[in-house]
Formats: sequence, C-alpha cells, structure tokens
Amino acid sequence: MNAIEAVALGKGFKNKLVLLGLDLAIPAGCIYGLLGSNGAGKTTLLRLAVGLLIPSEGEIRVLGTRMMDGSRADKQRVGYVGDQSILPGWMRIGDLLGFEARLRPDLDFTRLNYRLSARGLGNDLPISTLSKGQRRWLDFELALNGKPTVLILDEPFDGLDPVARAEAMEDLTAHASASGCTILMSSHVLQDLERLCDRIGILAGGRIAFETSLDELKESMLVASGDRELDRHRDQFTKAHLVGRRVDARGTTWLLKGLPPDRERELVGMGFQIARPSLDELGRQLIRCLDVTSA
Amino acid sequence: MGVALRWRAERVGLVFAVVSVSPLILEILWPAGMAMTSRLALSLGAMLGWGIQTNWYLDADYLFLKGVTRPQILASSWVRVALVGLLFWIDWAIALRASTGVVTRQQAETLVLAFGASLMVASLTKPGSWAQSQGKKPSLVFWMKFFLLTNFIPNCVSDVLINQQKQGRDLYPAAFLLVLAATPLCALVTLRAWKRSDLSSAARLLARP
Repeated sequence: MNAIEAVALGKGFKNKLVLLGLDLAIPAGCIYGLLGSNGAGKTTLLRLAVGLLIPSEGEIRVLGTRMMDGSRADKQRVGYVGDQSILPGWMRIGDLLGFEARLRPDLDFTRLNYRLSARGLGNDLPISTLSKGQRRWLDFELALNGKPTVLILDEPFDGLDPVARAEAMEDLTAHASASGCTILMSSHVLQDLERLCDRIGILAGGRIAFETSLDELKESMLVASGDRELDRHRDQFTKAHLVGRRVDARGTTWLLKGLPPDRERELVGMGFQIARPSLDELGRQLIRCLDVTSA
Repeated sequence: MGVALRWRAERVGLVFAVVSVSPLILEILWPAGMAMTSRLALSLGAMLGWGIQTNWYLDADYLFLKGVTRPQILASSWVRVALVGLLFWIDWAIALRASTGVVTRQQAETLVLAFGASLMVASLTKPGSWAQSQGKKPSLVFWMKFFLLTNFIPNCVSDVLINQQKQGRDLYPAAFLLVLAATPLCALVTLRAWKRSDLSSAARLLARP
C-alpha cells in the first residue's frame, strides 16, 4: 500500500503553474527525499500533501485520505514541519505544551520537556524570542513526539546547528526504524538525504522528473561533458540512459544512467569527458540538467 | 477554555475594558474636554480592539493541522470580526453618551452606522492576513491606515451626516442602507482571506475534550 499517492496533481498560483500532472507513489515505510531547485514546487507539493493547499487539478492522498477533508484523527497520524514555523509567537513554550496537551493526550510530555530543556528551551521562554534554529527544533520535537505514521518535512534541518542537525537526523532514523513511519522530506542538500532516504525524486518542470534509489544513483550515474556541438549525438541514446542534458555557454552536459561500458567508450570517442562525481556534485548536476530538460 | 482565550481574558481584556470605559472616567474628571478626549479614547479603544484581533491568535495553518476544519476556522474568524465590531460599537456608544449626556435616535443611528462601518473595515483589512502570520509586528503605516479607516473617516462621515440633518437633509437612512449593502461584499473579501484568519474560539473548539 502506498502511504502517499498523487495522481495528475496540479497547482497554480495566479498566472504561475507550479505543479503540472505530477504523479507520485511512496510506499509505506519508505523514506523519500525530494530534491529540486528554488521554486521547483517542493514546498507546494508538501503543503498540498498535508491539506494546507487545495490542488488545482488531480489529487494527493496521505494514508488514503485527502488531508484537506481529513478528520482530526487523520491529521494526528501525519506530522508536519513546514519551511516556516507556524507556532504562535505570543505564547510561552510552557503555554504551547499545555495547549498541545489538551489536543494530544497521547503525547509523551515528560520526554518532550526533557528534550527541550536539554536544548535550553525552558517552559518560560516566549516563542517569539526563539531563534530560527530553536523554533525549528521545537517544531521538529512536537512533530516527532506525536508518533506519526507519516512525517512530512520541509527542509527540516534548515537553521539547525551541526550538533542539532546530527541529533535530528539520528532521531529521525531511530523513529523511522522503530515505527516503520513513512517520511517525505525535501532538501537542497543531497548529502542530508543520503543519510536518511531510501529513494529520491527530483522535482523539475512541475513533476517528478527523475526518481531513483540512492544506491542506484551512486552506482550507475555519470556525467558527460564536452563542447556545445556534441549535443547533436543525443539521438543515439535512449531516454532510459540519457536522463538529463543541458547546453549552455560552458558546453554540453549530459546525465547518464546505467550506461554499458562499451557505450561509455563510445562517448569518449565522440569527445566527451566522463566523470563520476561526488553525491553532492551529482545532486547539483541533476537539478541543473533536469530543470532544463523538463522545461 | 484554551490557553489563547485565557491569556487574553487575563491580560488584554483588562486593559481593553479600562480603555473602553475611559470616556466615562474622563467625563467625571474633565467635563469640558469631553468632545476631544472621548474621541481619543475611542481611537485607543479601536486600536486595542484591532490589536486583540491581530496580535494574539493562533495561525490558521497551525489550527488546521491540529484538526480544526476550514468551516470552523471561517466561522471563528467571523465571530472575531463581529466581536471587534461590537467592541468598537460599545466604545463609540460610551464616547457619545459621554459627550452629549443623552443618546438621541439620531445618535443611536450613528452607532448602528459605526457598527456596520467597523465590520466593513474589519472585513476589508483581512484579519490576520498580513505580516502577523509571519510573527511580525504591525508597521506604523498599518496603524496610520487603520486609524484613518476606523476613526477619522467614520468621524467625518458622522459629522457630515449630522450637519446635513441640521440643514434639513436626512441622509441617515441612505447611509445605513449603504453600510448594510456593503457588508456582504466585505464578507466575500473575508471569505477569500479565510486561510490566514482564525481566533481563540477555534482554539476553544479544538481544545474541547
């Protein structure tokens, strides 16, 4: 069963179409990383998933429910950390926890209090005085403590210091392995996703332009670069191999997947330079090339 | 009762109550300066009313994610708009009562007009739709616009209506109908802005066991 499923999902804002015909299926228990350039629609997709936005077309379901129509029980099974904190700044942390306690009697407040205190987030602190990282940590702790079946996280480590970042990743991994929770998270940093995710999807041109497992990504992807005119050879490669390409002032860049060795040699013969970049570099190239290919 | 409502009742409610009745206090202390001071109190009251509306609330997204439905958020938004309008109205009534000693039919109509105008203004300024949702404080420009909309313009309209009536032209019924007609339009604007609006009654609904 798919924990998250989108079919022909579209979303536009005024004159701008952000998502168009997006299909996505994330099986239960999967940790799925969403990668994309600024404005690709990652936040929009995640907000659609939790029901904060209404699709212009198509639909997205989480645990079989359209969250915009979901009941309180449905919403309590889904944890969400948005790109911007929506916690009420005028409350103190203790007030917020008291308020949450009324809503979620199942939350483990002893543990939550302990973990927040360990980070210097005492009950008497007004939320408005917290730094971005502290707010993010509070968001994160509240989401994780609800023991959700599905976690939807928008740049969850953004603003966290390196120690908090590592701790958050550990918590997330521990929670996922203990509960079998499904996680959909976005990030600009492929290395963050590498530590956590089973699969990644690249969002470009309003849809999932490329999807793969991280193992497959690391083992079978290569980047071929050369002069601009080398792009004329593109018809010699099927879409299964040539997943992305970009031609600009710097020349031609192709992203290739699962290419047999003889065809690699063929590329070299054409004048391409072949590289197997680091994961970080691969992430950048994927975003660059897929943005152009999908446009 | 939710934390949000309790907090308001304890701190802001007290301040607002004091300011709302301040014209009566001023009437006792300084009868001659009443015309000016009552309006000053009115302005302060209106500002505080709006402050309650915009400064202390729970984000609609937060409430939605916690299980409050969209109709509940919308309904609670309207309850808040109505409450703020009512507070304006009470404040206005006290100010008029303080400045004239009696409330005539004409002044009663002014009160109704002010109530409608307050609702319109509250609707048109899209409660909670601006920077507050990001946790920012309202700007000085906002307060200036707010003062113009809620105090200066209604005061001017009221003065014009009174002067016209003195000259034998009764414009109250027309103005009253105009407000009545405009209010649903403003409601539509608010409907479009529902997403960022909410209030403690939604929190209260939510926190109900």
